[in-house]
Amino acid sequence: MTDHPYKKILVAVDGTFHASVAARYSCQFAQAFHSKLFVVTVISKDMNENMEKSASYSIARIIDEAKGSGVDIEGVILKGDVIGAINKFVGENKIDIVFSSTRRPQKEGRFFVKSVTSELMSGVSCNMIAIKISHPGRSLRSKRVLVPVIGDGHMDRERADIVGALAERFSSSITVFHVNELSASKIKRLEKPEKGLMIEEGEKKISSFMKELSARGMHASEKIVSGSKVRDEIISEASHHKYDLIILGTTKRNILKRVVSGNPVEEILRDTPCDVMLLHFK
Amino acid sequence: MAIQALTSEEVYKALHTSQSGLDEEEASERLKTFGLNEISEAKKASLFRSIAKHFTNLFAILLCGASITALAGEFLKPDEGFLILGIAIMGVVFINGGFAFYQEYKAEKAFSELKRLLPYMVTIIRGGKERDISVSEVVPGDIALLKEGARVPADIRLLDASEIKVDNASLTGESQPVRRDSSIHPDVDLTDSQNIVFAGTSVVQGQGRGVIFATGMSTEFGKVARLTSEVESGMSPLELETIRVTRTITAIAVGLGIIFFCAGIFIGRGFWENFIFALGIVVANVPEGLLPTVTLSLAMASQRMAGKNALVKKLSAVETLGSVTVICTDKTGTLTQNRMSVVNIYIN
Repeated sequence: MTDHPYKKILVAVDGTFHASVAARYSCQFAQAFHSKLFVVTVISKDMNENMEKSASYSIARIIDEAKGSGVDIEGVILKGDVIGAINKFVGENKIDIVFSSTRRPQKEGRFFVKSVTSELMSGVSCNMIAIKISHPGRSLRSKRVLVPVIGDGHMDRERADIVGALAERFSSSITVFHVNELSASKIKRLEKPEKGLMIEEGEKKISSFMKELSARGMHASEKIVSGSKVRDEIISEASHHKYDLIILGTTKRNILKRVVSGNPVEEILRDTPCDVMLLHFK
Repeated sequence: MAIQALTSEEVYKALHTSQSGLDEEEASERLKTFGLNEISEAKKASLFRSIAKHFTNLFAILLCGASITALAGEFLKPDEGFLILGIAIMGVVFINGGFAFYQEYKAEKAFSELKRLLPYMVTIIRGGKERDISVSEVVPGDIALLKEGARVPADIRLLDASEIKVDNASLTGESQPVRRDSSIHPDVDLTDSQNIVFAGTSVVQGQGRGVIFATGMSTEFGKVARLTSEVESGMSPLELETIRVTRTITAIAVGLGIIFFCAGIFIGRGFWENFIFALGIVVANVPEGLLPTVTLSLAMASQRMAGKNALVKKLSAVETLGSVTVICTDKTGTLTQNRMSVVNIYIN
């Protein structure tokens, strides 16, 4: 895989367990894309000595691990405000994609507390991947990967690049998942022919993404279901069929929609039993 | 990183822990990010919804309709006794709803109290020291010590095992204990690997030490629990029957009201006089006593069942249980205790 837009990858680490696992995922992508990997930590004012040491030690450890697998890697320690420093580094070094870990989103903080990762997503000028670790026993294994797709054709090529790289690294089996969102009462009334039509409709919606995957020589299976809540269907699918990873795209929802029905991506991040890779394309 | 395929050193490295376990600071940080090691329950209805459900069923709505009709009758033709009738019917709705709610609330509370009686502790190593902590506080990376009789608190990769056997009945239904070891199993799936013990199972023999790698709803037990919490309960046979009866009574009451109204017009009585008479017919046909009778008899039955150690959370479940014809259930550990004992010995 040489024809790809990701020549330079940045992974932000802070010495925590989650950040280290995210760094290991980024190493896998760097290997798949033959990219240069920058492992970056930012020493900010509010960090104590222990945190600084832990972050610096974390970089050394990641570099040691990555060098063993032949990745072109460089450790960078920045100082200042986290978002500002990373953003500046991304611009100066023409980084193509940023990796970061995201923690468990708290219910009560949903509308008010912005995490570093969510600020990075809106702040950095390049594409970004946020990784949420839920099941460390299945992390970096990713044999069974669930890829929920809305089916609007948006960024299908970019998404297929990421899914393809991952499938290549882990020899994963990919399931492309689409949910036809219907009211609960409508689902109860659905007759067999209507169900068939809904599946056909879903297949049409995800066809452009399936073509992108085929173009990369990947054979993915597809699953179309009907449900009243997309997030419930995704979590349920991930739980019942023991997926190792979910690859999800971010969605844009206005403040009114978030207040009324919440953000499904946040809810999936919070409740899913396996790791989640959240893709945010610019 | 298939955890069952890693060596002890690789397991420590993968989970950022060591033989002496996590330090308290890291454990508390992980508790914040991974959450409590608990199986979350299905969403409960709010107090308001629990109360409202007893006042918004079809029969209660029919009685409310009858009450309002009677009050309208009082407004149109005072001193005919409609006021008392209207208030009495409304009273029946409130007393019945309040009573049914109280019964279910009491059972729900007793159920919660029972669950609170069952917390259990687990021995882990943190900062190089053995500690007993509540099972809800363990996090991925903790080193857990397992001994005979212990319940497994989370999904654990065994690093040391001495003749350890676990009872997986709660997950697989298998009544025979299975042997576990700490060797590497690279060619099998996590769920089939012999170096993994799962949350919800118990150690029946031997002892072991291992690293926790999944907690709460991320465990295999959590995934099974999620399956059960997704099941939506439909209406009970009694509720369906009550709806059918209510619809029939409504149709009869309104139908008779219309017939008598038309008959009155036909014999030449005044419009309002006829209307009041028709209202009276409609209200009189509503069986005000049916709802409290059903509720009280179910409450009495649930009290009797409580006397026989059966806690009924939903009143209509009493009748549902009575109309069951076939029971499909898991046996071991549900109906039976998964304990075999010799009752008689026959020789020759």
